[in-house]
Amino acid sequence: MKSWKEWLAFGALALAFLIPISLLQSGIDGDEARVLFLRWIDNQEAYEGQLLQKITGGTDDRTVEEKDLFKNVEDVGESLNSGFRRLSVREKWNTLHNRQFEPFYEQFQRLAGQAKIKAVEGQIEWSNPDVSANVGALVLGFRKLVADLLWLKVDQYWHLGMVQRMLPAMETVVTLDPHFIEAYALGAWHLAYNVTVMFHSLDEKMKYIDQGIHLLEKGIKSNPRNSKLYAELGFTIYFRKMGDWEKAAYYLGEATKYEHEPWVERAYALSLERLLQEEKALAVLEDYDRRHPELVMQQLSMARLRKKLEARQVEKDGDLEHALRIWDFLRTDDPGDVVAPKEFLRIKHLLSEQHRGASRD
Amino acid sequence: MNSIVIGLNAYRESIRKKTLIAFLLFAMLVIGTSTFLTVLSPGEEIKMVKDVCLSSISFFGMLIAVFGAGALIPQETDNRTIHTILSKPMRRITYLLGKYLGAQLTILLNLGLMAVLFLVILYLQSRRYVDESQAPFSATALVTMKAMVLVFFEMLVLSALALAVSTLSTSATLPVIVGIFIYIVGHSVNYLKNLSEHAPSEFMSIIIRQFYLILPNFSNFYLRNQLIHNDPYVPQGILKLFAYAFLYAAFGLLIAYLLFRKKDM
Amino acid sequence: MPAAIEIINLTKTYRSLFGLRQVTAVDNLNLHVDEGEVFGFLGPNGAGKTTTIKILLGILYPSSGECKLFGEQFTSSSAFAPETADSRLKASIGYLPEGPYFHEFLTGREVLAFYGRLYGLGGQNLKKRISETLEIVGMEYAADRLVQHYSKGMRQRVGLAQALLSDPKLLILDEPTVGLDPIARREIRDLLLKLKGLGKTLFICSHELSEVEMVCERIGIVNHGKLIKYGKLVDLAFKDRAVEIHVASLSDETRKKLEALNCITGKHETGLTSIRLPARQAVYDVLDVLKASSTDVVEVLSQKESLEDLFIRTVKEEVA
Repeated sequence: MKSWKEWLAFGALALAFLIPISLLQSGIDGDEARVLFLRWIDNQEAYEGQLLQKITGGTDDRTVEEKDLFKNVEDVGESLNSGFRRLSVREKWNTLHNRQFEPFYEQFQRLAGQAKIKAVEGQIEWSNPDVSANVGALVLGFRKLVADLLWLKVDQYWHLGMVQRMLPAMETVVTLDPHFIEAYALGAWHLAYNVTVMFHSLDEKMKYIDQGIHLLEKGIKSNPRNSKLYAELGFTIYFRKMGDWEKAAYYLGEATKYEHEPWVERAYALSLERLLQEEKALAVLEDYDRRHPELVMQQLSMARLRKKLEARQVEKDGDLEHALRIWDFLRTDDPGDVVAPKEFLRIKHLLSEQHRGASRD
Repeated sequence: MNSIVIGLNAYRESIRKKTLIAFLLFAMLVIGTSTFLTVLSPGEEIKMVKDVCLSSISFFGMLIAVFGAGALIPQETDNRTIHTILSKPMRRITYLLGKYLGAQLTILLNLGLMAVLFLVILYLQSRRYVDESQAPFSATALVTMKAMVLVFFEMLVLSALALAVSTLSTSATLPVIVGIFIYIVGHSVNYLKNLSEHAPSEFMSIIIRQFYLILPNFSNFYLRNQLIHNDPYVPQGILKLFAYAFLYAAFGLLIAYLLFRKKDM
Repeated sequence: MPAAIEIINLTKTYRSLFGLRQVTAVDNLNLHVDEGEVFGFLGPNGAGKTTTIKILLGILYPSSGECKLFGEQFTSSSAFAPETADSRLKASIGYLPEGPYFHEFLTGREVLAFYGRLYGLGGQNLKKRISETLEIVGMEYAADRLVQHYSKGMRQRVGLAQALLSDPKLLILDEPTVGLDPIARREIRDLLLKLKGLGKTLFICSHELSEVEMVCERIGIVNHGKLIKYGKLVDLAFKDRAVEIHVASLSDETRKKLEALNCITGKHETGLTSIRLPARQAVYDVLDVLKASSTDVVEVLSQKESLEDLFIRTVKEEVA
């Protein structure tokens, strides 16, 4: 009888532990799910930005529900805090705890369970049984280590020239560790540079460059606040490989929004310069110069940009001869500048038109 | 008070144990040589070092926790010191708490040594690759310490459960095997959560979910991986994890006490 | 004054893990030890001696019956009972385990410090107590050596010192002399007698009978968990003791007279002639005869039944 009572007391005591434990576990899971929600919002914003630029290669691959949900969330976010998109993670996190987000959060959970949310990869695995990242659990918390070891394998394949083996291994690496930034960056660089030189046909080359771009886009999906991926896509791929200044400028611009290395801003300014947006480029560099007075690289670029602006002003004023002289100087001063020769030829053409017109008169 | 005496004694005993010293040395070896691994992977030196070190610290930390906590009581039962100690004016719960305390001191010492070596390696790495935009070393050290704290939380729970198992056993083999098993289960319970979301019926779903909620869930502490890589998406902090670890360890000790309080010695 | 130990109808049953099999280690045991007494608790291996001791110490909990020490009982069979009463009780008992094992990495003094702290001793008090007990057991000379270098006898003495730390009224000693060489055995025995002189109650548990015989006043013999013989050593073992007289030589005339008194004469291996008396009461008659014949009496021996004989006889009877 006595022992029966004692066991009852211990049972109650055990429950007194187990109930808070299960509540805490729910809380922790809830936090994780909310962080996922936050990631998804950030990622949608990044994706939306790309769509607005009309520069994502394909079409919008989101489901209708996902798009609607995102629109609603953004509307509520804007109404609560006008700079919703620009909030830091912590501020956004606090805002997301507002009651008004509750129905959206629940809807997000539901959609994720139905695999109708595609944009967040890697993190969504537990609600989506189809995602092969369930493999991650098999390695008991050592998935990052496994990803690293597999990455060494990728490196080995590269040195052996086994490109076809590299690709699936690379995919697995980023599935195991969706935040392995260097795997995306280095992988894309391998694909766009080192693999393409092995082929002569332009189609083949484009195929691998595209794969590199996809890899980086996937990385951005999982890490929307990582500047390195944007910078890599903008500079290494679009700027240097493809010569697509417009996309380069967009991605480098995105890269400067998050914590980044100094060169990113210079690259951004350079791509703006190539887009003939000298004023904007100068503004970027002036801002940069204020924050990094110890660096000197930007001084030259700024001087050249001022010269270019002067040439434009002179041209507007009608003194084409003077403008031609400036562009000629710029052309010879830096042979790497692709804009100056073009501008020189344009002014020269204009001048010759003028001369022809004058002689006709 | 007596718990502290027992704890310090258990600690002095544990740090002389050859198994634990072997684990520590091996972990130190892996951490120390992790920096050579980076030769193979240009570009991601720091990440590799962090991953290898953190993984080996949590793995060897697990072994140290399981061997350290699981062997204490069986060993004393085996050489019958436990009779002499229990015949002294003290409750069994005091004895248990003392042993647990001793195990924690052992784990802390080992984790501490590994963490110091880890920091040294990180410091050397940060000196080696001077980057334009590298975070100052103090920031790295701070997140590293946070990650270490999360490893310790996990060990707190695991060692309590290993201690609970060890009260049933007269040899260290059983608690060590069960402890490792608990570690594996604790890292895999997310499967249950997944299962509960796709259960055929509502009732089953609730049952599975409840079951999932009360099992030890070590994947909670995966957050350390995010912390150490400066992932910006950790707004929730680690307070809940601390509460979880603390409560679960207390629950483990409760089980240990239930099994131990009337055990025939 | 309450008895030092009072065991009433004590029964202890061990269960296997799932409670399927039961083993009764102690079966309805009754025992009474007065304060200041030296009690020998005897029995073959596996008779339930150690189980009884553990129950006395509060390490095991009885299945039924009670066990009182100085009129008090352990309460911690209830999980929520306050500990203070138990602590006081435990502090009044010293326990020397069988073949004591100590943490090998400690010195003798550190071992004592560890156990002393468990008694709540500390500081100068603890230091004083340690040197006192070390003096009692005669271990000052080796107190700062590591336990792992100790001999068995030294370990046993540190074990005793450890049991004496709280200056207990009752000492429970489990096989205090087992596995020791004759000299160490002798030393421990002297130590026990010394403790007896200090007024301690000694409860000695052993299967080495000769030791018990030399120090104990009362004994209890236990087998298969049951108490089968219990009482004063004098009553149990010395009751029917025979007397033997050894003489240098014996004339035929005297021999005849002695045989008439029902004595048995024979040659002893020492070369002496032995005269075995039929009963103790005959000793004066025989001595008269010897005096009359001026025989050279070398020694008069009291041939008691040794404890060993008693023990074996009792256990055999039990089996029969």
